[in-house]
Amino acid sequence: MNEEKIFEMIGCLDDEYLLESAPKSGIPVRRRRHFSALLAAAIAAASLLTVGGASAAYKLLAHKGSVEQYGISGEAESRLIVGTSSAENDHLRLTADTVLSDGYTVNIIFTLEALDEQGREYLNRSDVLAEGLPVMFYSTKESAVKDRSALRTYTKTNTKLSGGAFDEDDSGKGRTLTSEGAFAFIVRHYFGSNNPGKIYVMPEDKALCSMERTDDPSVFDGIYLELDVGKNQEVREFTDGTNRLLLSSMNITLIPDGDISTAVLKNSQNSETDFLLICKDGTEEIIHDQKGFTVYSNDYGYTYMRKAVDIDRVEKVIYWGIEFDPI
Amino acid sequence: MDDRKTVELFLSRDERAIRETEEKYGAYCRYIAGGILPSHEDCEECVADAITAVWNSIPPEEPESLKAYIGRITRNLALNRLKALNAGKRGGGVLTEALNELTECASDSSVERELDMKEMKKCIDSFIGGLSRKQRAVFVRRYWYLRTSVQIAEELGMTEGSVNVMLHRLRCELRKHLEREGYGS
Repeated sequence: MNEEKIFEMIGCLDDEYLLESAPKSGIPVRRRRHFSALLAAAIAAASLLTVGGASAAYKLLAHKGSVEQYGISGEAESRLIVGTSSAENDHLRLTADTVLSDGYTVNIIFTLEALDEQGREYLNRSDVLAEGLPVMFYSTKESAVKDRSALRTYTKTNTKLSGGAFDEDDSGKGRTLTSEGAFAFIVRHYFGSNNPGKIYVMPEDKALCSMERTDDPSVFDGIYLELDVGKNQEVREFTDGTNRLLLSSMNITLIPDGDISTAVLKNSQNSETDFLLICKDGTEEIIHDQKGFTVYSNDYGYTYMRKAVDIDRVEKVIYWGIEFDPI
Repeated sequence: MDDRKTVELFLSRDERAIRETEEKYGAYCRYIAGGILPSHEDCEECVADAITAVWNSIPPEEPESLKAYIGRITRNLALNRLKALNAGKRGGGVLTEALNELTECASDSSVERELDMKEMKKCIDSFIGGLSRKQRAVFVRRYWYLRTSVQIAEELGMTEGSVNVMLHRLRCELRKHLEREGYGS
């Protein structure tokens, strides 16, 4: 019997053993002893830069460093950074450093900071450090604050950009840094043509994602942000003669047209090539490491950039060998 | 609301069943899909697909345990999605690691017996049933839930080393069990 058959056999396991071994409680906290190299780099980079008066939101070095990790700096920064909002309770502070919206898709960079020991313990959790945390989008303030589980509108996920939280060094002596107990992460969401313009955002206790939902108090109780997610980014349109492709600094969105586009999307699963941007100066740029669209259906497909792109430089977009020219 | 009532909502095509299932087992499904798929977006889509699949399959199905039922569906969907994401490869990430480890249990025989689901279930249940509760938890979390040894160690309050040692011993035991059952070389 080969290993694949054995794996298949394990899949047949009786419900009793399956449920017995399922997680029934949160994942234990394990303290992180070493400072994150990523955050150290972010702090080092940020300390070399001048923080302008217009960038009041970046008073904490970690905020600036976080956004820079996403390739947003210099001239692009003044164009891309559109505003911030912050909320906190006794344990944690959540700041939306940047909201980038091309109308269809929104990208939000957050920083989460610990304000007390309970907050630091939360940020030190290995699952939070490894995976970031889910963020929920709600359509009304009431649904966010009063009845979180019943009226949630969007389930959101994120990618962690940087992190670093520690309570002690190798000798056991506590350290103090400006950005101790903070990490940044990015959340992306595709609204399509149903962008509500404004959303209410609450983080979700990571523990609740690892076990069945309970009514236990969350470390995030009382924290919610009201964010404007209306279009604030320039969008250029391209076409292959049939389908529309929308390009903004952070996202590519394909609006398909009938069966041909559906076939294009399906083909993306089996090709070795990906999105290619042909720039006006003749250079080529591969926009990310993934294959095809991050999310797609018959109605749309979208993906995001590895780094923010200056769309004015783009002459042509090639997707799976199909050329899209400006409209 | 207990499972029976939720299943009855599905049977009567009452859409409250979907909300109930998401509320009660959404986190469990995310635990399963999140351990297999590389991105949160894939995970969320997989969970949504699993709930849809439950809606589409009840009726005619009437699962005794809704949790186990949706858990299996989520795992299958997540594995299929992982394979699609890694087309041409063995499955990628956690799946490849798990399969590599399970080669220790595989036989060298070139003649493979065809096994039906019933036989496979009987064989693995008799092996798992003979383990201690802790051994079962470690083995099932590694090869059914596809958690890494680091994750298992954290979840069960063990060290990574002890998890790896236990898994190695359990794979050896499984190989012997398969040989005794007539599936070895």
